[in-house]
Amino acid sequence: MQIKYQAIILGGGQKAGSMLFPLCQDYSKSLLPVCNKPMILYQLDILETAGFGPQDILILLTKNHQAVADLVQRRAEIFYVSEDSESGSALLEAHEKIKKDFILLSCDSMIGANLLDLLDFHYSKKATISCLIKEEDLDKKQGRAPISCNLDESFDIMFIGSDQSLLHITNQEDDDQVNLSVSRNVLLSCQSVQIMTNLFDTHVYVCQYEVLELFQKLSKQELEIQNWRLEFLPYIIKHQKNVNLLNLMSKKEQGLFHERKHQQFSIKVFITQEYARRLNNIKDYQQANYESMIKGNKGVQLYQSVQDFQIQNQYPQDARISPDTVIGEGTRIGNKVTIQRSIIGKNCTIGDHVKISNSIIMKNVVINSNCIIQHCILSNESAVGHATELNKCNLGTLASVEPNQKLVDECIIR
Amino acid sequence: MSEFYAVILADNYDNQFNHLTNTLPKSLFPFVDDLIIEHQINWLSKNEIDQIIILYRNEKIAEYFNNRKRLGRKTQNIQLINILDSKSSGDALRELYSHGIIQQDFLLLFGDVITNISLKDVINKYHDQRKEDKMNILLMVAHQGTQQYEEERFLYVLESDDKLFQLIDLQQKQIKFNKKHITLTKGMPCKYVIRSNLIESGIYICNRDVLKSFQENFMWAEIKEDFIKYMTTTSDIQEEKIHLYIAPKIQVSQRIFHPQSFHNACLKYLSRFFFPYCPQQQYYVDFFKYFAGRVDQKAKISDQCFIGQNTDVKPKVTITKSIIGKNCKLGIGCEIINSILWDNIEIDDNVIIKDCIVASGCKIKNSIQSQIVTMENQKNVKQLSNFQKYDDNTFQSEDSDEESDSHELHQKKPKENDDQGLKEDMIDIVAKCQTVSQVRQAIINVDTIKVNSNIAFENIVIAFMAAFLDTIQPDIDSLKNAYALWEEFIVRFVSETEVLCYIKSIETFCRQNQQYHLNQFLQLSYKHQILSEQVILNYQNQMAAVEDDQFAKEFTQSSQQFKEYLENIIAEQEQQQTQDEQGDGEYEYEYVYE
Repeated sequence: MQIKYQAIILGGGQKAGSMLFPLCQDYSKSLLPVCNKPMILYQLDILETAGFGPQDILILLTKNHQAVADLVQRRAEIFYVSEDSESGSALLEAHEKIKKDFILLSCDSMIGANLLDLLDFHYSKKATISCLIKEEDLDKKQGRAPISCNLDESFDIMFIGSDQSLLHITNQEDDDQVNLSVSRNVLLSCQSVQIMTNLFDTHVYVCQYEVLELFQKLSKQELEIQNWRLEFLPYIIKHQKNVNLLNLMSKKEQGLFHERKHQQFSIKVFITQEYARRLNNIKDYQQANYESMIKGNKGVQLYQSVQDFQIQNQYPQDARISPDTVIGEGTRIGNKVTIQRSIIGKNCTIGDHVKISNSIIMKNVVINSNCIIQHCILSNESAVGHATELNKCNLGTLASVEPNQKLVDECIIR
Repeated sequence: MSEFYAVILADNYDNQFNHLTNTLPKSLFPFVDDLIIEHQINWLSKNEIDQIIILYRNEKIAEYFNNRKRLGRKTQNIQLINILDSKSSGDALRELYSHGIIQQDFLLLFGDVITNISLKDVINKYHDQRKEDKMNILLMVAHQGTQQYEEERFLYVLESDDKLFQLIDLQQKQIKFNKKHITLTKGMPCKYVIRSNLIESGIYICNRDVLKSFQENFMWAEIKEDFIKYMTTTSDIQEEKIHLYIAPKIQVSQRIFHPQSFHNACLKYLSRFFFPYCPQQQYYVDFFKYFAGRVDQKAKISDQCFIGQNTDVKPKVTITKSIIGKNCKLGIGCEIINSILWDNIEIDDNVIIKDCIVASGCKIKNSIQSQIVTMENQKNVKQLSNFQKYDDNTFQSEDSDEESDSHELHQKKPKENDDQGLKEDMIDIVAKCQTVSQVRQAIINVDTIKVNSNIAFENIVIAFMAAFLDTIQPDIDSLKNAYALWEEFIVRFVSETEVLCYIKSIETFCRQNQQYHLNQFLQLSYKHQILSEQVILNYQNQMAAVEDDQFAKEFTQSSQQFKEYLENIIAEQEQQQTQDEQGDGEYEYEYVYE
């Protein structure tokens, strides 16, 4: 028997894509493709496999992300929130739409784990909030060093208790204070506590309905808690044994005494080894695309289904295209073209004598002849002039580059 | 194994059992069916440790061992070392070092530990640690359980392989970790574990280097507060490491800190927690009741009780969770609840004894509650004092930043001129000090002298008083200032054994110099908590009884008011304490057997 949950996807607000400059200048982050499939469709697919139907999924968007709404309107319910809201306040605005316990996803989370396991865990532990956490092991064993889920240098320091509760979380870059300071009562609540630095927060949370009410009450107090992850979550983790906080949560009337005793506030972590990555910065976005190109046993499960749908195009005889390249439908490729380890979207035009390697090219892009493109991301409808060399450049939507240029490490917008 | 010594610190340096330990050291307390120290010797011999060194302070232990005849298959080699002059376990260890018996490793055991931990694995782990690194000098043995008492409440921060990183006491509300001392690297598996379900057992396996460290740092008084704290907090300089051995779940221990834990340990022993160390099987009845004496069928005895040999339990007697020793006579209709009765006790009819400890040989005529009853001086005098209600604020953490590494060592005077040299030194020190921090420095200096020249406390007090009294003027303000300044120093060196010579030296001084009033000295001493009410009253009574002494008569007259004041205070205290209802606290046993 599965308790029906509601899924909420934070589809994009004002700040979405701020670290993905210039890709999101005129384009929604949720629509950025990984292996030619927009990110948000991955979320929807994961939810569908877990049994969520269109009436169970709610996507929160601001008005300027209309394109997302158009794409997904048949698969989920859309709710528009005000322009300047943050993740937490967006939830509050959608309060009436949320009626049950919910699972909160961010539009840029790529999850390989089975959501049903997470939901079962949440139910069996009677947790207030369950977080999906990936455990990684960056210990250099034989061979190549493993690649982290999070290509940012920062990491979280988490105190995990013996019953899998999350006792403390801070970012290693945060608080320049000399000391890591934890409340004593929180540490005493578990028999043994581990200090872990190899855990990655995937930003997928399963919450009880009361959490939303708690959030509402907290935001009414003068605490300036707007952002879900950066402000609300650390706040309640810090005060999880504080009696005043518990009193704020609504009390169930007529609960049996022994049930009421179980109404403790607990934040648990579900630790998985499966694939997880958050695509909120350029490095991680690129890395996800590289990972999606890997076929076979070493490939990521999440991307396998996408690859299977690739249609084989006809290419000229002298085009040298590496096997792990993905090329979208309708793309025309000129003569003597070399493409290595890249993803090319639909309806692109690639001229003659072009060398492309390690790049991500989206839809309707025109690349004129004799170009060399390495480690670049070219957004929709961009254009690159003749004989231009681009190295590690990122182009925004509708951007274009003059011919005969040599550019390294540049961001170009319209 | 033949080289492996066990060192038992057969004394305590706190006054939790103040009343009983005045006459009987804690190691000689009867614990259910035998003395605590016998239990420990039994445990050690079952773990194949036969060389035992006992550090004792009270003569009774020496007497006991001289008259000890135990039938056993193995005879142990027991050496007794006298640590009469020590004020703390640190001093005891320094004394041990000076005897030079210990060459290698030894096991250190506190005198109040009852345990069933098997030492074989412990010693193996210790030897493995030593092979890995010569800097592993101490292995603490801890067992798993819920921390009940204030003395047990610590957070153990462990690194991999059970190395002790930090021992945090739970006084502060926020636990702080200094980021510089912790290594936090991204993506590495977990390095630190914080455990709150460990209890230190009072058993340590140490290397001789531990004794050396105590010798070098002679201000160290306690193992936990000083030694372990030092080793774990100054970890960037220190290379020596302390490891923890965590006993498997069925091996436990219990330390006897205070009356509540004493009772708790007895009940655990009866409940067979310390299997295979249990009361004899032949006495077992059911539900953890052991009857070695005669029990009438009409007596009501609850579970977890022990009735000693030759004790007659008459009908209509109710005994609840209590331990009764040998040769006791219980009158008809008695009720004994949560109490520990030692041997040879007579209890009259219809007496209720609740939450008490009654020492050997007493005769109880009235109902008592929450008291420790002893016999004094072979008379049937009942002296009653009360359990301290367990106070959460009594935990004191050592102030370790007063230790100065650089202190001036006074020149060592040759032994013949010891006394004279000491007096001169004292005069120097007293003359120099003007502020409280200088007084603190002086305390350290005097400690140095004491240890280097091995002087007794009494001599120090006499020399100090001579110098101190020289510096003060007859008016009351100067007296007050002087006492305020030297309060710490006097409190440090004048303890129960020295109060008499302290008062004596003031008395002689006042006799010689008529301008000074003994009464004022006593009042100031009382105010600065150097002397307690009882001591002053005793002295005053003594003086009142002296005949033919003009000085004594004058003193008695002038101190009449003060005497009455003190008597009032004592009466108030007694009244208040009898009004408080004190229980022994709840016993929460973690039943280890699932």
